[in-house]
Amino acid sequence: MFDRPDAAQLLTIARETLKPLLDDLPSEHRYSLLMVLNAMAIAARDARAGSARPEVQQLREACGPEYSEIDCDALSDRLAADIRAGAHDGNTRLGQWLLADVRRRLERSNPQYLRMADGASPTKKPSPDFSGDGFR
Amino acid sequence: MGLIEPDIETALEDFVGARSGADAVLVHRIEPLPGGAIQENYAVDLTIQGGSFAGSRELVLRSDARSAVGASLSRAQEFAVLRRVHGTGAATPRVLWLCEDTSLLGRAFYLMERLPGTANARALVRTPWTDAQRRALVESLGGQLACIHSVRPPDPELTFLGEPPGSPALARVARYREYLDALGQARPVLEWALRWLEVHAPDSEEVVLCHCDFRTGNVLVSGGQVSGVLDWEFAGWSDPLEDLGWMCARSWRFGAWCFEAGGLGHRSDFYHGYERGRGVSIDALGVAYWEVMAAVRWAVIALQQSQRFLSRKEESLELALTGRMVPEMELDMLELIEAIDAGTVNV
Repeated sequence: MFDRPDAAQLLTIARETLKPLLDDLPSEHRYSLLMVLNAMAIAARDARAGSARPEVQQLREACGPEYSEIDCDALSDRLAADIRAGAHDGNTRLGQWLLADVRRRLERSNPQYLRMADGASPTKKPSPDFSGDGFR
Repeated sequence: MGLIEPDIETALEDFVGARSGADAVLVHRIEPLPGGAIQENYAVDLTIQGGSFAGSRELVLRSDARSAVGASLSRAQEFAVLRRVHGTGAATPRVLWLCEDTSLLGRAFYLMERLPGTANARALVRTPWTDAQRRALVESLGGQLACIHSVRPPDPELTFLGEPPGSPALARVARYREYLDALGQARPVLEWALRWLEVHAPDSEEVVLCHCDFRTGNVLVSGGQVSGVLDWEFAGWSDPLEDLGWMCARSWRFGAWCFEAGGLGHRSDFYHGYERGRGVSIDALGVAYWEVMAAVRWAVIALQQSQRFLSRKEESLELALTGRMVPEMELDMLELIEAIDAGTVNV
């Protein structure tokens, strides 16, 4: 269905190829290259996560029946507006979904931050994983 | 680049000469100072003969930069704030002369005394301070804030700050909602936190002069003590807990999370310095509220910065990456809200 290596694999190997060049770079370009390496790592994790989004269905369920007909793109706008208006005050299930969604996105943009946060509160257990997608 | 042009030195010498009544002024050096994303700062060394300010002087020239941010004070307003705060005993630079005549250097500017020390956040956080040094340093940070917070509205020198808000917390919530609307990006997690802040806003708040960006990175440290408080462009009337919350927010610990006061020392020592300076005791849950606010504020700023990249105004990898930092602040705000609601927040 598609050629290999895929986006994630290409990005990863390209990043590994760039990394040793850090030592050779004059110092005024080091910061730029570090940012490039970071951006490639985030992009690779994004690519691995893929486009499957089972969490969207879970969001609809957490928000109530009015949400079942709203299409994906409009969901965020509707959700934001309803939260601001107080329509979801006390909606614990939604609160848990939001936290799980933050953790999912953080897993892609900065997994080390997530490890640090979980380490900082040893009594805290990570929220239930609603993603169910198994991509890593 | 910037203001450095061949006849800048002459223009400055004439200006300083006129303002100080000097017989002669000689500029030895003008060099850009690091930092200052929104303003441009320069180190200026000069010698003044005669007049009210004779001697070898090490100054800072602070001017408008090309890209101004709407929410910040003008140089003239900043000058007035610094002059007012200097009288409280806070370690602010002594401001000398304001020039609003843009024909001199192309932009409004002012000159102030240069203070010793470093404000480099990463270097300060990575310094292997002893426990005693950390305690002294963050106590002095608390003491600085206490001085700043002694300025209360109304103040005849600070009329440009406008009417103090009845509820600083709700004023902030409204402002951040406006910013989000202007960005046109729906952010459910930020809306969740803002709604929580709205519902849990305190019934009554003290209103004082707040720095509104008091954190590691904006404070000069020399010899283990605060030698200067910098970057006053966001100063305004607000709840003093706002400054305390900003200083203790996880975002501003630069990775040293165990040192809750700006990555430099313990929260309790920071509080102690503040409480001793103001003769009040700190409402710890109130600070936690404003730490949630701090995470929201920084998330909104990050979104605004990434918007400059997304809207093609500025092709910058740094701005692009800033947009991907938002989940970090979102985690901070949600975890803190959960801890406050559960009664488990560290006080």
